[in-house]
Amino acid sequence: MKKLGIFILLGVSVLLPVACNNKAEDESTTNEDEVAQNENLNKNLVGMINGTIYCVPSPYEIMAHVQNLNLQYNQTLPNSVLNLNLYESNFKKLLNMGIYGIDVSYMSLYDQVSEALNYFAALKTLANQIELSSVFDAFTMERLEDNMNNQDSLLHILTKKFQESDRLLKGENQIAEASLIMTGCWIESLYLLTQIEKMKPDPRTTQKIAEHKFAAETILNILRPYYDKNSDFKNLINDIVDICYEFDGIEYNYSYVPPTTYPNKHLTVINSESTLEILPEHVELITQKIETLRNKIIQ
Amino acid sequence: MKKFLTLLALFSLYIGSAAFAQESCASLLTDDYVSNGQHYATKINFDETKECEITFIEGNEYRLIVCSKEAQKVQMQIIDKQNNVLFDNKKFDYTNYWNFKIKKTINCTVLLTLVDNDVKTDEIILLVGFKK
Repeated sequence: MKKLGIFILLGVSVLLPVACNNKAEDESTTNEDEVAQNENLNKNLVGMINGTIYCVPSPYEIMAHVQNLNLQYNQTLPNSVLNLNLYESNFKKLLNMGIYGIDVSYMSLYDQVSEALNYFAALKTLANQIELSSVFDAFTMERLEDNMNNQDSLLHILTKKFQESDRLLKGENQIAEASLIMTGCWIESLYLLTQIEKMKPDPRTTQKIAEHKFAAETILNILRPYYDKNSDFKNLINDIVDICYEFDGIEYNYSYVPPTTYPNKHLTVINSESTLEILPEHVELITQKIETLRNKIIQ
Repeated sequence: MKKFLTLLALFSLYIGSAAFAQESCASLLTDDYVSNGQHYATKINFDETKECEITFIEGNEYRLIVCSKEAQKVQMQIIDKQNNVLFDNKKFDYTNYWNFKIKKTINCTVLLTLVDNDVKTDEIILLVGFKK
């Protein structure tokens, strides 16, 4: 908690870049309830940019939530690195890259450094196997070893390497492959959340699970184009559709409230109200189904 | 915590694109923001609108950044599911970034329109970050 508190303090103390607009501090309430009359709304709505945005309960939000619960680290939750040899197909390798990534985030929250390093090694192995060996070359590994005692440098290097992996995949137009890594991240995030809810039920965790309603829809939209690619994709998508049925039962109510805009802060506060109503049976079924799906992927 | 956040960034999924966007967009995603993990790039013609679905989660502060290769003006609008305009950068001289504080979880659509009539076609990038 202390670390989180310090971090938040640091976060809010950093000044945001100031806008070109030099008006005096303006806390004017901007009522922008102009129903979309802009003519642009009525033409050329040509779809989404590379799919929908994965702006859903992020690992950061989930881990910050976990930290707030003051739970002990549970070493049985992450997917064991011993399972690495089970992943023969690229399909499973990519999904498990996502899963291991979330697991690393979880264990890092609890300062499980040596264990995290094992997971980095697993990520490297998987990256090599899916022909991204250039990313984790000898030079990179040497730099990692040199920075073993400098967490920031170590993680900076690894961050860059992971992004490089993704860029390479996308550059090769392997969007489906990149989508699998993202799907693995989502599955493991929801899995951790539901397991934590099982260990220590908490209304805040229930709410976090409910928020995955939108993520589930997004993941489905991202994967849907690959339904006929092969049976692996088909089965995965069918399983996610099944989980989405449960999320469909979660009621989302929205009511518009005019936003408040602070031009000099480049900031708009979205004041609209919403509720997500999730029943215990939804939580139970989602928990069961995500666990089943996750077990299929990691075994 | 810092270590943890950096690790999360490992899972930032960036779509490779031209260096211009990497530089101009990434520089606006300052240290106090973490990428949401995606980087959207698309070609766009003059007066054309592209849209993205986005879910803002309550309690968070987000930064949306839009960059273009040539155009000086890309309109960015945020509308809710009832078609209420929550934000329009046209009112702020087409600024290429804006921050949003979210009181309650909300599903929105981001609309990006190339409005610079000196440019017939361009490539634009949208980045989403959230405040640490």
